[in-house]
Amino acid sequence: MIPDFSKDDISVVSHYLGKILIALGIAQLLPLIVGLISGEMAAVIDFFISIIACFSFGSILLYFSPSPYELNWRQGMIIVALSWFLAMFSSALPLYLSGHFEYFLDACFESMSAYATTGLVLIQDLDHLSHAHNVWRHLMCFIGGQGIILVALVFFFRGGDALRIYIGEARDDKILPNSITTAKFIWMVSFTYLIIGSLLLCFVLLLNGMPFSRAFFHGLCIFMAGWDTAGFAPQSLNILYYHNPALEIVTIIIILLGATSFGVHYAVWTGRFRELKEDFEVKILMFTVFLTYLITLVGFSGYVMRFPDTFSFFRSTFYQVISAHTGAGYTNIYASQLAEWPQLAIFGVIVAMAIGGCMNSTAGGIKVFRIGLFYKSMKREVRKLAYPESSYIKEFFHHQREISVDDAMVKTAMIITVCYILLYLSGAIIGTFFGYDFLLSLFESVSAAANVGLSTGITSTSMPAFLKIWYIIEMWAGRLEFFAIFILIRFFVKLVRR
Amino acid sequence: MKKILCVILVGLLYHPFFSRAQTISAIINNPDLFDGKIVTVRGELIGDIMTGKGGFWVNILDSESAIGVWLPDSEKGKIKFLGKYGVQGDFVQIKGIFNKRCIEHTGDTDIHAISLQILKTGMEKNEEIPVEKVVFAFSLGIVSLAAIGILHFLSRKESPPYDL
Repeated sequence: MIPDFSKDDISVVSHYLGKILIALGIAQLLPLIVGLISGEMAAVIDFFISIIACFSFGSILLYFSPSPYELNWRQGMIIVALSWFLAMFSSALPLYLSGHFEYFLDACFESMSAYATTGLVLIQDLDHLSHAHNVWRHLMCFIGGQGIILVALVFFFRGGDALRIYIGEARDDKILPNSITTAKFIWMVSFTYLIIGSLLLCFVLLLNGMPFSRAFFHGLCIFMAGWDTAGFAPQSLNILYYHNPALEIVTIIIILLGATSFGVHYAVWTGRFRELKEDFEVKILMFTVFLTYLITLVGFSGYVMRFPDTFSFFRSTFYQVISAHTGAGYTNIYASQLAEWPQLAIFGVIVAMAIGGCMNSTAGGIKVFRIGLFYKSMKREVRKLAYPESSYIKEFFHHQREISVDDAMVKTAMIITVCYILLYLSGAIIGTFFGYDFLLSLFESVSAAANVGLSTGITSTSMPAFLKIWYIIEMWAGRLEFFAIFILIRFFVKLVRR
Repeated sequence: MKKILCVILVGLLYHPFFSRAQTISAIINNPDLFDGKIVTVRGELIGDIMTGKGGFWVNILDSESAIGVWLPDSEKGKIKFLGKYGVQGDFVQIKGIFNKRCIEHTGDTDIHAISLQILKTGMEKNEEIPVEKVVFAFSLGIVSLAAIGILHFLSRKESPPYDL
């Protein structure tokens, strides 16, 4: 029999949500300090209000929900699902107070987009946003990419609790023996790349004639959003602002690193460079990038002459495909130009977005691991038919170690893939209901659910509120890969039935 | 008197502020219509100056959209303020050739400026902090600190309820 939810569940969940709120308050100290350094006192006050609110509500939750118990799996899942919503609301507060959002819903959309590393934006007059708020937008991407829980894990959770909550955030790579050391490793990798990547981008921008302070600020922001495949940028023109192909090449390297599994990063860090060549997921990623770009190229046949030269064509098309596939959402063309692309080329980008990056990376989407698993499973079934009935056929793949394809693994992958497809379609149907073109609605919906952030122009402050809410749900569900959300829904259904 | 009025009227019509200009959105949304043609845009210069071979980039923002403008180095001295937080950038009129996919700049969508006119010099703005926001922040801070202090006191009086 399935155990029912008890009062203890509510108490435990509230207790950990309190801890997460306090962690989010601590995270906001960084933009507050940036505001103080930059002399942006209005921004400092916005963050002061938000931090106080986080600490107060966090303390109240902790006081009224003392929790001496150890977490169980379903509590862990509910905490994960709710903490992302809580993070969205609490982090939207300083954004809304900045005066750059028409509605609080828009600020919530922006913060969920940042945490889920989507990159769709509803901010107004981004070009005049304070440094403090801009750092906060990009820091949210950095936190969300690693996982909100992962931030709290390092500081606030016990070993047993940590694993239960870690897996709820769509991470199941056991890079190191326990989840806390794995979390620490992920942060160490991310911070090391942050320093190298930001300095590299800063150097490129210095060559572009930017003063050091501006180049460093832009480099830092672009790295945080690029490594976490979020696609935010400090200016409204996104990557188009820089008019710099060299910078685009650096961002391609960063987003590819971000879309690579932390397991592969660990292997490379420990000197096992062969993993890069042998890992099944990396191979599938390269193959699907090639395949989706091929679809886009075929879509453009007959249109190539409209580009001044081959490099211009490659620059415009490949950047969107790689950005879509890794889930980054960085763009070097206008949304209206993307909407003008031939339908097959748009379809190629949709497929790239839908597939996404590697498992246990910062990328979203179905993930290349699952696509590869279906391929291996199909291969096994075909071999089964070809061999005598009594034969026992096994199919292996290399993903940090040799793994045999088994039915349970394929079943789980299939459930998640079907959920993604249904989510993609739901947004497309709702978009069409509101009068948008089906293909463009599908594009926007896949972009939201696969946490990509490319847009054909549907996402704007003027879009219907219901569509904004639906995209928020898509971003949230897509980032957490459904299971935590299913358990949360069941939890609420049980509560209502009482 | 009539002659003077006519001269003023004609002068005003030829003044950049009253001459015909396209919005950036109109150009971007109808790129084929404007591709390779001379356009006039008005807006605020924003962000940064980025150098290149024989010229520099600056982005111009009107009420809806922004676009990159390629200018010759000789125009750099005219620019005094670039819009960002706390700074109102120079409000300018740019006349130039719009390129849907620029041959010179590897396919960028840009405007190659022929002329740059400063219509209104920008300025540094004083940061406006609403008094009610400051009062609210301080009140919230005091109430919250008091509440957290009371909760902490109560929790120490009872058994420690949480383990931060």
